[in-house]
Amino acid sequence: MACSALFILDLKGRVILSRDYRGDVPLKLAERFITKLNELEESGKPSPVLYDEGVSYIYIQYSNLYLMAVARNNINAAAILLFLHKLREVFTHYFQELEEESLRDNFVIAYELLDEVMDFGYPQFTEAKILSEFIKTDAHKMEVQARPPMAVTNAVSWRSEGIKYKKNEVFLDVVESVNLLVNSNGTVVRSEVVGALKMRTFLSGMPECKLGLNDKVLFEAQGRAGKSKAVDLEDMKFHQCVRLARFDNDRTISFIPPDGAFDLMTYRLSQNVRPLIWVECLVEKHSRSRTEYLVKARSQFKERSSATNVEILLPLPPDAITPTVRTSQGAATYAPEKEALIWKIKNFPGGREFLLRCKFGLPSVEAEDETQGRMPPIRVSFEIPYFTVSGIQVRYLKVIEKSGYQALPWVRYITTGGEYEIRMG
Amino acid sequence: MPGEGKSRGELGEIKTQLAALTGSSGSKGDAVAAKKDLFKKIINYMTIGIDMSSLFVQVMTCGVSNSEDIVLKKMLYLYLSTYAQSNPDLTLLTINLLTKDCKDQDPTIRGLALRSLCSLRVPNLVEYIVSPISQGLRDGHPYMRRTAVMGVLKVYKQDSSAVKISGMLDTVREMTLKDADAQVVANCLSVLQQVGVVQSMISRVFVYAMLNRLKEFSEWAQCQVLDVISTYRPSGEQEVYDIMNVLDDRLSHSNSAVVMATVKVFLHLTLSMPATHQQVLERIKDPLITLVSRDHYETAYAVLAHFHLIAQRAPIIFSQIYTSFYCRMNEPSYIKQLKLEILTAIADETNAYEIATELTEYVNDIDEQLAREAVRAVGTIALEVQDVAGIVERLLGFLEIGKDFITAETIIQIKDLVRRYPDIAEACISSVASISPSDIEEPEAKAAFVWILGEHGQGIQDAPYLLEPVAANFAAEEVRVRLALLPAVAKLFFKRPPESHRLLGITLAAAAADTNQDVHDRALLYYRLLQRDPELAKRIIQPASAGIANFSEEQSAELRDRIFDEFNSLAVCYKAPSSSFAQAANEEGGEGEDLVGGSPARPVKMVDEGSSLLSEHEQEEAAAAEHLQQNGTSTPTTTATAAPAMDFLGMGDLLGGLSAPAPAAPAVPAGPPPLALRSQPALGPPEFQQKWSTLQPSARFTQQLSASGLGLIEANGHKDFCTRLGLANIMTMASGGAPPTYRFYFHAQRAERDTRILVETIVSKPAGSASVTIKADDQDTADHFASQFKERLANL
Repeated sequence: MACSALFILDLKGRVILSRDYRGDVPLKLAERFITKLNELEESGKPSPVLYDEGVSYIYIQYSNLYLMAVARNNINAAAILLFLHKLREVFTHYFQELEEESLRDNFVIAYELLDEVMDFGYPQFTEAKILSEFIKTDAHKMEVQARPPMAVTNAVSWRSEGIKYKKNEVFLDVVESVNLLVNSNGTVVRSEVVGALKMRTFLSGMPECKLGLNDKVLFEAQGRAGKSKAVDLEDMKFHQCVRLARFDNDRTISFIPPDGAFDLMTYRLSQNVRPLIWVECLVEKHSRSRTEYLVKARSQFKERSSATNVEILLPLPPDAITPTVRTSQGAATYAPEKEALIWKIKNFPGGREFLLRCKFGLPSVEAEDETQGRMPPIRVSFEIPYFTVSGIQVRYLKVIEKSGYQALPWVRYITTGGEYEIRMG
Repeated sequence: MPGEGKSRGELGEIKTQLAALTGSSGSKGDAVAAKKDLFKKIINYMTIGIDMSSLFVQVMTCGVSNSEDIVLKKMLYLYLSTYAQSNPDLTLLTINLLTKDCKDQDPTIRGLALRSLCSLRVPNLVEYIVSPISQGLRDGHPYMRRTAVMGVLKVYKQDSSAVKISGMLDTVREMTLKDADAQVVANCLSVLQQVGVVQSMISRVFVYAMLNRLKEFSEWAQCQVLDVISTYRPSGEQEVYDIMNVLDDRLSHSNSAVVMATVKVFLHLTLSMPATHQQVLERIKDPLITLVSRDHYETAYAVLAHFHLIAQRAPIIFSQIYTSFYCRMNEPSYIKQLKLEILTAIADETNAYEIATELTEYVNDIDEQLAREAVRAVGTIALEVQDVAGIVERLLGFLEIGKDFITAETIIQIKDLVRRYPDIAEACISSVASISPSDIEEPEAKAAFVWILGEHGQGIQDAPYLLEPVAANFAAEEVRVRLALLPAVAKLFFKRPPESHRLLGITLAAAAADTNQDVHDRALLYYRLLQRDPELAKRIIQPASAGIANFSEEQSAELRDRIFDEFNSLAVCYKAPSSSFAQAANEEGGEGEDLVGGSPARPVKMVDEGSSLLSEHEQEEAAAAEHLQQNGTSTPTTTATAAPAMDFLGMGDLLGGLSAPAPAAPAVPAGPPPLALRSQPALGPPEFQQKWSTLQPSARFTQQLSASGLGLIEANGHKDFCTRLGLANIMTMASGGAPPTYRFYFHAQRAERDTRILVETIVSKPAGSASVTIKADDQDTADHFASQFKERLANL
């Protein structure tokens, strides 16, 4: 089932752009949408799919815009929501920043794009790279009108022919993001690592790439188990360029990459890993007007690695008065708008422990409702370069092109804190 | 937005500029650039909602003269397709230009022109469009063919007969199997699916051919193909395994829509193979979890909604990964709410304690909505999973948090819990008794509180005194509180007469003086009962309570199955089958659903849990009424009255005496004379709709259908069935719906009078029955018609 129209609205619900694909919904609907949304927001329950009088509104919010699809049919909600995100990516690719201004400045191109990404409400092509050869922006418009590029018509829909670079390079970033949830009693409720192989390719022609990982399944199949460290990755998901059948057969990751940046692969690791940065907060209430936090932050990874840009967000009561802080490392500042103390540590080597002491007062008169609910959790963000939790390693990245050029692969590893929450007692 | 006057001036200016540029003789490049700027301006105005349609002729003549510039052309086309509908006479002029461009050398231009041509949506132009599309279907370039295929659907929407006559659908059908370009094939499938003929094409050969080419398709096209494949019913298990093997790698695709489409195929293929179905659920668990933790919140939301659906069907599969559904601080509330629902669904003996512990965290959350939901979730888990210690304690603990809304929510949960498990009442009531009624503001909670005090008053020392302030303030309370107070006070009176006597007096007096009919009538009923026979009153008002084994679920299993059939669609997000919110899937039946406009319920129906309390009262009341009839009064009505709750007022009798002989008596040999119906009654859809919404249902019944009857109804797109009824002068207003449920609206008119008869018939295939609602201007006609129609259905 297809959707009827696409709208791009500002946050007040005014239409900036719209494209009516099927002519079965009035374009005034946008007003209804915003009324409905406001109604639901008051009751606290707006979801990305709204229903009002026979029409479904499916929308995402991005910067100061709503991207919205409307339909009368029972359409595929998951697909349309994803489509809207892809549309957002396409716009971002074209206008760098996607926001009201850039859209108004470029509305002609935006219309052209809306014309190509969907036909009669059915998604068609949403690869920005491909579309950009098809729809030129003013910045690099060509004199002669291009024909539809081969890519729109051949099987390799994500890459067009005839790409040329002086220097052929590939950048591969292995990024692992750690999600952690620790209960107030110190038990790890949930820990999860979401990994991604992010690639940026600057390669000429139609290169064949092959990627080798220290994949446990592969090593076992080759009888090399135990010789070197191998990782067991769960639920790997690949970019559409990867030949999945080949991977299923012999675990080879082979592909013709798109041009530019893309996520080659994502994976997940749900076995319990030791929290990389552990934070404990001891709250001492000396008196009503004097409370003290004693915070310990410990890095629980090997000494040769080092975390950078560590930021620990320590929640304070909303009515805290004049917090004074001392730290053994880094600097801490009070951010009243976040009702929190932000402790920043530029460099946090492995196997170390740093301390923070914070004293603050509370108004001597008790607030009306003393029990204001639980404190938000302590949140930690960090980056550990040259390190992965899973131990994944890129063994090789081969690039073969018929012109025979040598491509330079650059591989980086980094681990970051994702949803990293430690609940306060 | 500029004022009317200004925009008119602006329009005039643009018009002059257009005229000047049309005739301009300057250098070509300059002319094109100037035109582009002007066109941009026009489209900009158009976008912000200023009507630019009056410039139609000028824009066209100006645009045509420099049509070699592609951007200018695109703007011109955009303008034309926006305003064609408001200028149907002038549109004919553009047809020439567009058809000419459909033969351009450049496939881009051909495609653009054809797409615009098909988007004009001016009815009398269809004849001009058919031939360019037919040519487009045979075009050498896939870009053009893609556009042409979609064009077929666009024309079909306007004029389906034109498409059928032209034979284009057959061409599209052939192209589905033969075209070299994957996107063309995908678009063909979209067309055939919408037109409703794809089902007839699905065969083993077809499915295998599609699967073999699947990797050529773009991500979106893959979703389209998989959606079609999910309706295929393989002939044997081996085939199912083959298909799943081929598709298994799709679960590793990074596009979540592809993953979801694959999941749908897997689930639907294995429906009749329970063991394999379980394995499939195990298999899809991980990919789905990844989508939830990796994707944008919005897509995660859609995936979670599906998770919820699956979790309700097979909670055991997910009971060990419950931590995946713990909420994070930053998640939007729609995610948190779904996660709570999933946690509730998968709670069992093995994980209930942990889940309840986690939920307790949310109860303390600053977000009130989440906190409330969390209390409800703990309550539901306590209801469902009874053997786990500690959950009820958690619930009782919430009362000590000291926030009014949490106390309120908790009391409502405790009320249900006590109704279900009377033996835990003792543990609960002491905590409840410590609450002061003045702390409870919310009517639903207050009603629950009052109920607990009434039902378990023997164990609460202060019960009468806790209720007294409520009674004293009777008139100011909400109806549901007043309604709850009456039985509560009465029950308390039976348990502790001396203490409650005064309370009962105050309450009855206040209630009898109430302006609300329900409250007033109930007070009188109680009063008379008590006056006549206190022992009997006790039996009626306070029947021996045994725990309630099952609360009716908010969603029946059957409804869930129907939603499951529509996996991967909005229906899952709304938790309601598409028939309640969307147009029918098939174009042919499109009108049926819409006819009764407002009547389909809102899809997102929040189940009002508190209503269970009320409905229990209603049951009590109904029981009381029945009692009264059997024992007390002399009315010789049978127990099987249609509406016992009303009957005790004598209403049923009153009506029964007036109306024709009981309708449910088809066995009477010399039944009522057949109702003569006027042939060819005229009634337009608007009148029907208007009448339908104003009339009250006069008769309802459900009729079992024979297999051959069902077959007849389904055959030939319902046409046979409708024709048959038409012969009996029962006309079809609309028919529609998708298997397994069909919906029909009929109308008829009584011959000798002007009485209209409107009929809604909902045929449920799995149940093999038809539920019929009849609305007529008078009751007599409705009853007559009902028995006749019933017989007709039975003898199909």
